[in-house]
Amino acid sequence: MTESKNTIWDPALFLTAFKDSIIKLNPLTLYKNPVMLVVEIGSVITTLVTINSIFSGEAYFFNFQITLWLWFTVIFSNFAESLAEGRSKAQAESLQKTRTETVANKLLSNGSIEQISATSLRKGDFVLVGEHETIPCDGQIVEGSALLDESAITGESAAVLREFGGDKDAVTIGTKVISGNVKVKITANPGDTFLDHMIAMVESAHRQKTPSEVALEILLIGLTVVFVVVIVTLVGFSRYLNISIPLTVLISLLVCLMPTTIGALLPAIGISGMERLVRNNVIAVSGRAIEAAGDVDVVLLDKTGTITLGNRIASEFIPDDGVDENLLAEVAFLSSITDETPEGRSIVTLAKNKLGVRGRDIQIPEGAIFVPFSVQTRISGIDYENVEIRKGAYDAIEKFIKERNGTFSLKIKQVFEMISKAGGTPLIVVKNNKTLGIVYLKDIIKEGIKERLSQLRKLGIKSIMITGDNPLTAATIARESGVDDFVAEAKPEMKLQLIRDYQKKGHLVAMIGDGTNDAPALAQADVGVAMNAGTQAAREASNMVDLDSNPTKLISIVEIGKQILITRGSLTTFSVANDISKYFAIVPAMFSIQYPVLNTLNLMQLGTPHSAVLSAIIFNAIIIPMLIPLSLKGVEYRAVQAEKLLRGNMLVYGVGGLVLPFICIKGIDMLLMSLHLV
Amino acid sequence: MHDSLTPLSGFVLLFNMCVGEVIFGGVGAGLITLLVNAVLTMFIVGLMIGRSPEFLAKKLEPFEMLMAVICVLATPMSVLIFGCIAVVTSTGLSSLNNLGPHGISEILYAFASTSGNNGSAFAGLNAGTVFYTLTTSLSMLVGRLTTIIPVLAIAGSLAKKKFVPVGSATFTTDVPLFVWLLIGVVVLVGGLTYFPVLTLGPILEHFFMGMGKTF
Repeated sequence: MTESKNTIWDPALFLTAFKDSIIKLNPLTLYKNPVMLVVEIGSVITTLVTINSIFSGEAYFFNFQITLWLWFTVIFSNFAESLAEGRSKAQAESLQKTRTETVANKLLSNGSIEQISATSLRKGDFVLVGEHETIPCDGQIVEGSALLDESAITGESAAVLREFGGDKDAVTIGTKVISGNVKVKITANPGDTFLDHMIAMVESAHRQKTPSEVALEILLIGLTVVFVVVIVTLVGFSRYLNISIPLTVLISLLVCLMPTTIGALLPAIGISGMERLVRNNVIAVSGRAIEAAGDVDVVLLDKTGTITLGNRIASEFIPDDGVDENLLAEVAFLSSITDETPEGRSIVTLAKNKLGVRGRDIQIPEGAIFVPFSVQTRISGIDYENVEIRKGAYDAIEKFIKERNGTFSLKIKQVFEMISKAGGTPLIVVKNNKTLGIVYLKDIIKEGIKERLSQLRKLGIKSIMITGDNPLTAATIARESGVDDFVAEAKPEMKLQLIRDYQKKGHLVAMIGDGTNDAPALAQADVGVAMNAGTQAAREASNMVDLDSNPTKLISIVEIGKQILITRGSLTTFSVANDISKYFAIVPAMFSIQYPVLNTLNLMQLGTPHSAVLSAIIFNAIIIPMLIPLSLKGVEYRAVQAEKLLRGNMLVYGVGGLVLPFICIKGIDMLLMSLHLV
Repeated sequence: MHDSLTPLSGFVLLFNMCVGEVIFGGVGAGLITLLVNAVLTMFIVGLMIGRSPEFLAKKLEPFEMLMAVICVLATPMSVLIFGCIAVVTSTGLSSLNNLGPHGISEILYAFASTSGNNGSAFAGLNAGTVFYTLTTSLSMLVGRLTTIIPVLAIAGSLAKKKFVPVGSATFTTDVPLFVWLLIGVVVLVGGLTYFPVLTLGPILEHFFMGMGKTF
């Protein structure tokens, strides 16, 4: 996708957009933009007037120029939309290239394999994907593991490991298997995959309008209707005073007054917002979610992988009083031998190092039963003969040992507190009811997370860290990373409850997650961002997927959401503020022939009535292409206090929108006069 | 009565009624229009600070916007349409004592007052005819109902919505900046809808008065 980072001024894109903007003159497509439809109707009328004046031998040059600029207004508007669409389509097309005709090895129910086209796969099918083959459809690994090249969708060239179980079982259409063989359960029908969603999102036809976009359109249509009434009734009022206003001038005034600037750029703003998101490697399932992102004021962050560097690593064995360190290492090894969590693996590695050669000699006792880690007990281990070996968090082990009439030694308590205060995770190892010692798991806080969290705070967003750790550990990490709040010893249900509680208070909650157990919380959150590296369940429950699996991406998402709104608001203010100067250009021009006293209102001292009207309509037309880059890039968002932000934007787009057209219209008028165009 | 006011004084009276009685004298109804203008202001404010718009800790959505737009724009439309009918029909014009721009002021005043104020007259206009009785009654209905119904609808819809907690990214309405913006919206909406017709009425009359010509 990196190669599609085209600039605004790509000539090929320009040409297609231009062709498109002519095609879009068709009123059947233009009706979606009522403001521009009215302009087009106006253009048709002035065209007829011009033709009539040519044939009747009247002076037609003025009418001709007005007609020309009115058509330009519509074309410029279409051009803005087409250009935004073109850029998005370029993104989509580079994605679509990844959807080349793939042959899938479909596993039939009788165990045989049938080679079929990827497009005929259906949800629930099983396929086998071998080395150097392409994943035919979105799915979930149900057997095996593979190293995948996901550069087609993420632009990242580093290979990614995907495997059954754990929280990295999702595979995406178009990615390639570098090594390994996997059995994949298809989770989406062709045409309904992430890529399809993404492509649909960037193509405006499928773009759902957001509530504030609809509200803004209502305002714009309302203004248009009222200006139509103003112009029509003006005919009556001026006739009463014996003023006759030419039709072209009336239509010019109407077009100048209508919010054409924002009306023309509104579709482009929405499309380009979506495109900026895609450019950040985030797929949004709906435009609504992006807008909601701008409103988020609480964000739930999983500690692991978001605030700390992925997994905790065993770094030390601290034996209890009177226990040999090697014994502790051996027992810890046994308890973790089937533990596939990264923590478990790191314990095995550390124990092997500690025990040297002996590590290989440890035999798994016969008849051993493994007790896997569960979120409820938060404990894991192994049972054999009459021995129960367990490892787990302090309170979980305390509960376990109490049930067996054991107690913690003073040393265990001390070491536990020491490690917790240092921000580490102590895992307590017990054999039956006797504690053997503690495994010190270290958490490493991600670089730069503190700055990012303080940025979130500036955006007015409260960050809450969720962790299964005990409160002491959680507090240390919270302090070091600078989160606003934390929830310790959290079970998956708690995330869901926490989100509901905040939502009840009226907050908009964003949640970032990757695991299957995050799915309910992701679905409940107003903005759920799933990591692409996460599970299929998490991806389905969320309304955005971050292809880079970078949890701090939320900041960019929030900023893009806000930018879209600010751009719409600023251009609306600019558009309406422009009207004042246009009134002062056109109204004196309309009336001063009959009533020269009204020329006092000609504040800009425009040359002639014709040049005044023409200057206003030219300004009205060319401001649209001038603002295209702004509407594609979005008005910059600064993380400052709301009032300050508002004052700044009002100054630029409100006051600026008031003053700028006075200067420009005067300039255009001088140019027209010097070129003798009027 | 008002008929003998200087054109600009008449302009002020007219303008105050046209923007919906938001300043002194507009008991009750004035508050309504001011609140609805505040809804419009906060809509633009919300967009410009990058939050979906909210007012009084409630979200403003398409429905509120539709009602606010009807509330703010229906009255001017009715004033302009009835006024236009009056100036283009001979029945309408036959009630005028004064011609020229002053006549526009008289007719506008009649409909602006029946729509939004107490139905008083600028004087100089004989409103006792069948034509004016009917048209002013209609404009009274339109003016009142298109204000009251939408504003009640907004109130009902906002009451049903949940509170949005005030955070550091919220723009609160108790700052001078909000007051300036609200004034800006009131003047801009009123000004943009009435500017051309007011130019032909009191403003033109004012310039004529400067030249020693009165009506």
